[in-house]
Amino acid sequence: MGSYRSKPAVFYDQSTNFDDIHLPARPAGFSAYPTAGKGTHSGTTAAFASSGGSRRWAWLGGTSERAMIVMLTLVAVVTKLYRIGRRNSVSWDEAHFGKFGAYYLNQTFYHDVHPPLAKMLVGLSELLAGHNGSFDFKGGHTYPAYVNYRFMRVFNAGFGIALTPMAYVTCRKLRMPTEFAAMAALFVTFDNALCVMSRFILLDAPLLGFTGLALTMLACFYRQRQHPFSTDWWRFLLLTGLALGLVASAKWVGLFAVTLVGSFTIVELFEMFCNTRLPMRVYAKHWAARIVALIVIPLCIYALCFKVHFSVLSRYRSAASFMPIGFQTKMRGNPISRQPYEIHTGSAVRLQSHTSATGYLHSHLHNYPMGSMRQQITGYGYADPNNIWNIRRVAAAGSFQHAEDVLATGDPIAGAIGNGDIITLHHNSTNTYLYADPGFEAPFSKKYREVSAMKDNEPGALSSNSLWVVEIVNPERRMNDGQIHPLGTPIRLRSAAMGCTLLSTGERLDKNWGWNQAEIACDIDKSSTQDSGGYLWTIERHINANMTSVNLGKFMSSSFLRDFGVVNRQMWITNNALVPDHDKHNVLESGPISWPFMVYPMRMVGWDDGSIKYLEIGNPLLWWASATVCLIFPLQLFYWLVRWQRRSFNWMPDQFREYIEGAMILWGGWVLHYLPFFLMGRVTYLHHYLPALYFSILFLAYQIYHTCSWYMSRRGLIRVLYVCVSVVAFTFWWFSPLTYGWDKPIKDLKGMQWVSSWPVYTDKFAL
Amino acid sequence: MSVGEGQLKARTSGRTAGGKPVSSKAGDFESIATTPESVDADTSSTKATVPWWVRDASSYAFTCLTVLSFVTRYWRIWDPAQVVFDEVHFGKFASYYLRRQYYFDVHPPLAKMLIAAGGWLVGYDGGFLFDKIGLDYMSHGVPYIMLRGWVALFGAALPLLVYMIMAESGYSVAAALLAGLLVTFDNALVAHGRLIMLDNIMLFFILATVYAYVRFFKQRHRAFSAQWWAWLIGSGAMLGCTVSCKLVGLLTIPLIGSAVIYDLWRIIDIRRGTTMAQFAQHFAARVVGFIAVPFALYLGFFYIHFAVLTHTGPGDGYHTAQFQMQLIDSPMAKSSFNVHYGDEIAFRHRDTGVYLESSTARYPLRYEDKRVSSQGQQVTGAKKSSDAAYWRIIPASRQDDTFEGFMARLRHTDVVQLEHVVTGGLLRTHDVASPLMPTNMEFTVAAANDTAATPDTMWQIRIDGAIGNTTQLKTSASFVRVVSEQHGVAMWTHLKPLLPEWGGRHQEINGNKKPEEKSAVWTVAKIRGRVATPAEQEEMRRRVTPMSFLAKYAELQGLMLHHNSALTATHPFQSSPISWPLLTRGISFWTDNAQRRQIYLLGNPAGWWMADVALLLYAMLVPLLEFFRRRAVRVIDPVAERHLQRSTAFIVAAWALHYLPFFLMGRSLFLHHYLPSSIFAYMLLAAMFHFFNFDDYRRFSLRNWNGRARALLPSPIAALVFAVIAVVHIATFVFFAPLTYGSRSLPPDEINSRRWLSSYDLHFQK
Repeated sequence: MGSYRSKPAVFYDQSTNFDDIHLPARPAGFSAYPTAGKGTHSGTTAAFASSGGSRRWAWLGGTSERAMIVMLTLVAVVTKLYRIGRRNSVSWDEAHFGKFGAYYLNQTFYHDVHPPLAKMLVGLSELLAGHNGSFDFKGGHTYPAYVNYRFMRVFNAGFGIALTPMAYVTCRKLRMPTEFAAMAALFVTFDNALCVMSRFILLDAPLLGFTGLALTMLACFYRQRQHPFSTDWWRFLLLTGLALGLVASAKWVGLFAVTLVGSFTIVELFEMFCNTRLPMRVYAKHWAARIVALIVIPLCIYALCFKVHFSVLSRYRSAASFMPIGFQTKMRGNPISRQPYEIHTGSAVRLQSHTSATGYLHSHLHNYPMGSMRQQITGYGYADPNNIWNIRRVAAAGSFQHAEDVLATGDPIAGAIGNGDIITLHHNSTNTYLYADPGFEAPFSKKYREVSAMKDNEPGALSSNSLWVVEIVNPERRMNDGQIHPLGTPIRLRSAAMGCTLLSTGERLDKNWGWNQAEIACDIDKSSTQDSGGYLWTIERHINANMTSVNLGKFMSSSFLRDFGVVNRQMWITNNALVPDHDKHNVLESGPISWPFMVYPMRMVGWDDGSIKYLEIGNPLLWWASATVCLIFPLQLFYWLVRWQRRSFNWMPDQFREYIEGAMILWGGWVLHYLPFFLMGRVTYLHHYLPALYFSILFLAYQIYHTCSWYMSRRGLIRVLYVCVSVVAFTFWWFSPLTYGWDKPIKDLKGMQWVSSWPVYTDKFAL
Repeated sequence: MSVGEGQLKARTSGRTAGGKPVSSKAGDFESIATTPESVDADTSSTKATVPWWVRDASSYAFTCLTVLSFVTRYWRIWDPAQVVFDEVHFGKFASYYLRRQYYFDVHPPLAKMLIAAGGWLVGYDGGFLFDKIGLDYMSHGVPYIMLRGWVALFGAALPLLVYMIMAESGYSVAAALLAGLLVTFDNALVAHGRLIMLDNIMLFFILATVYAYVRFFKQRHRAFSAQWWAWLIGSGAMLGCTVSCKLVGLLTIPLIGSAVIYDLWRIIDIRRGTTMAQFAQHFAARVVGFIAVPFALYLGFFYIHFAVLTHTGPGDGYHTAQFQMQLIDSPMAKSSFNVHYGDEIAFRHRDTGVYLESSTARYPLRYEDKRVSSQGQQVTGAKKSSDAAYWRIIPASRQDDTFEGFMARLRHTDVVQLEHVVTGGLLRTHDVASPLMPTNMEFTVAAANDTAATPDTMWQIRIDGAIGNTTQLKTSASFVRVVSEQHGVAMWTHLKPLLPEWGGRHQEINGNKKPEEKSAVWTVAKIRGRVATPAEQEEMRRRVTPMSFLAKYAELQGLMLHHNSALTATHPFQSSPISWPLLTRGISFWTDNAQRRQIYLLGNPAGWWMADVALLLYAMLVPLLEFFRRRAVRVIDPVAERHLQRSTAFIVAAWALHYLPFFLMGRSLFLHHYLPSSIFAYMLLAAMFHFFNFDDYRRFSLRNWNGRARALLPSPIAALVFAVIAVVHIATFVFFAPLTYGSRSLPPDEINSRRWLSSYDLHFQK
């Protein structure tokens, strides 16, 4: 390590890229990068690097840097907080996220598609605002006096405000001079969409804030490249990991930031790999450091958020029913943990399949239209009297061969039912037995046999076909006494007649005769391992009037990792279920293709003349310019590639590398935060573009600075800067009525209808 | 940037390793295997020691392959004497060419025209229409052996082309022979290669394209020479033929395209001394060769297509009226009258063919879903025309209700009322939901004296493709939209669901809020009492405005693309691309229940799986070598590495580009879509055999496909590997041959012994 640090140039093989290319003499008229802007550039860089003030904040630069940051932050504070409490009713998605925050106050379980961090922060803001969790955030309702919604909005806007100084620091770290970094920060400040989405209690502001933080930390870490394993290098590496953990815990969209940092790291590690002078030992250390900081730490933070989430939300609500039973039994006020412990002949039980979509073993007064034509057995997801089965013990374990004899006497045996016992399952409401029929294929999955419900008064109803052997599979440790119990002992049911195993096939029955319920069948193939979910059933409910209920929670174990896995899987399922409904045209949805050029801004509230109206519309100039710059960049790359192949490439190698690395971080961020939306099947909204927009705005400033500095003197650069900032600020002001709320008739805003598809005062989709 | 840099380094190292002086002429360090000088040096030093059977091994191998490939393709080609699988389509199309009747198909015409040309050569008249799989050829007098034999010529040429490509790319005789054998003994290629189907013809052109391109690339040091031009144009021509066979052939374009870009990227490198003017010449030559020539050929085949298919036929209905009128005997050209006010006409829906009709029956008050109707008189779409299907055309403004006004012809954008002749009411739409679609408006008939309903009864006639409002409405030939002036909805109907019993199971007619929809088009089928006299027919035929070739082509091409992407109906034997390389399932081509014989399309499982292993090996090898190279660790000979990264990479690219795009396609896909890729996978298997067994590239590589060999095999191990691959492959082929040729009936236990995977759904398992 020591030797490595002493030769920082080794890290980057300086000879790699261009110095074996003999550059032609530079054309005289071409003002070489960045000589024109040299005064500002190198001067401020020097000032930036040098210290001033405490060592602790040295990375933020000297006094002038800090003054600049403070000034920019003040502008951001003003723009974000101006009349923030003006609309005093629950607006837009505050209805969701305010409510989710309130759950943390009253500690009731809920389920949502997003990870919990951002919502816990909302909850924190409610706590600080003195809310007691009793307001339910109904959309459009006026906030009561005891809910300090203004404070909550300010708290949330803090993330939006932080974006401005972070944008500044990012640009400085990507080697932009002070003035242009300030321009980038002002661009971010003066975007109407970023502004309006920060002014309500939404998740977008925390997401943007954490994304910005990740980018800033990445840029800081990137600048430490020459000093690997130094204190600052470690600090920013760890902070990058921390930011990734936060952003991924705020919304899954944050995973795009993880991808950005991941790609950056892969490229970095690959380039190091190609440096043959770097010892393998040091190289391995680089890997290890990044694995710890960029994989382990974010994962821990993500898991920690759920840990807190679980421990705060300790009150049962039916939303928790998808959670593992062990988790549910630990919740306060849960309805399932008090049940009779031992299951005897005559107990009524409800069997729940271990495959999530199947639900309970069910039968109803409808017959199969094929096969045996007998009454159907299905899996049904909702509470229903038809889910109740009476269990009868017919023979004890090991007496399988005597089943026929037992049947002859027909008397159930008293006592608790255990592993290997032979039982019948009698369906109370239709007087039938669960009956496996070897003669017929299952209605849908032809490789399985049919299971039906046989009328108990028919001859042959009580035959070996309606006898089932109970097999306990992986019982709870504290219930492992060879007997079946509610909740804790998953069981397999094996038909005594054929040895086939009852399973939920995962298929759905026909809508017309099977009501789209789950198919239940019997698997005759004994060779397969039958420990997967489809074969396993849990006695979810046990009713026996003769027995006293006990608290089963004390028998159940719960594992955080399992709960964590289950809740994430459920989030994934819920998220995928948010598919667009093509039959119903929704004015709020928009496809990713329309975002960069802002074809369809979105109304956030009702549009009647008297109400205070907010439109999610960006600063059109910024959106259009940044999208254009992002789309042109690949062409630029291609152009340079051809120039390079022609050896008429007049960048200085190091400068080009510095330029291209910065550009790839920003442009790559835009690509990674934008393109994946094209692959998503779920509904998408305009504000999904905001993280990508943040990258593209910074990239716009980056490109303006670099492009201009090739051709202009310092004075010209400054003029460009003034023009850009004032034009952007003016447009921001022009559209600010829609950002800060407009309570007069919308007809007065004709000047804002720049594009016919904008829903400013006409509405194409008005019904 | 760093990739380009990598190439630079590789070249430099290759140069020094090759021991050439740095100042040698620009191309030397780039040649595929060896430079001409070094070959000469090699041969001259070893000439004396090469025995004749080694020297001429290439010719023997080629001859041997020729014999084997013809035997495998022509063995029992007469059996079964029945229509097998897609012969049903392609045999039929060939017949249409010979009958000169117009047909429509989603594929370009070349391969089908070639089949037809074969039929024409042997005097087949197109009398049989191949209507059903299993129909007997003998009793219908079809020269099917000739037709199959003709297609099998293309199939038999595949192994030879594969051999030639491998040899020209600088592989050894053994590798080239192995690739040839693998392709010769592939069950899927054989099964396809001896039936009247398009795939083998397309495969032939794909391989011919690749072969010509390799030859062209090898001419790069003699740019713009006659040979260079010949192979450039040849390669482009073969590409044009490929694309003209099947739309899947389009995938060959990105393959050649990427190779051309790679080539151009090398040429533009200034160290090669190319000026921009020279580069522009190179660029232009390739635009001509790889864009202009193929496209011209493609158009040319369509030109022939239209020139041959001059008569009306089953494909008419897909086209616009003007197109149809070009065809001889087209009913459109023979009976197309101008429609006048006062005429009683029958509207016919273009897509579904139903007639607009009304009856005295009324809509029920409540539908099943509890919605309420107007209880007005029903307007429905009936399959057969009757008196109830006639509507009289009344001008919208009764003021010009003069005789002249009344006798005027109906033109585009005219507004009319439509009086139902039988019941006397006026066609009306109003703001009531239609019986089956809550989003669409109900159509009904209003009493003539119901003035409140008058605005609802005004219809604008919009003729598709009209130029200005002078275009006149004609029967049959005009495609017309009937749009409510008041509500802007277009008269529309749909196939499913049909109306319930109360509506006589007719199609529902309703008002579609998108009048521009393709399915809102109607024709005026007939005018009551108007029949064309022969003189009128002749007159009308004379007056048909001819359509230019390009207009016809543009129309057909649009329809082909549209219908190709609409081929989404599920087929019992369709499969997903992921299953193809693993060969998890085949396609049942033909069964004969009486003799318990069957033809089941299945690749050679052993061969396909070995090829998969080769693909995996390559996928692991290349990054591994790249890592070694980046760490400056020399593990293999630079010549071998360059070979791996260029000619082998080209094969892999060919495999990937003919395979991966299928993952993006929405249409129904079949195993035979993998056939082009399977050939390239076999070539890769042979290339990997070469890579792992041959240490010295120069000594073993062939310069030309029929060139002299200097040595055959480097070691007994190599011979053993060759023998194992070949024997396993051929044995598997023979084992599965009864399913490929349908030659004999297999008892159930033999059938089951061939179900190597339980998903091979062979017939007669029991």
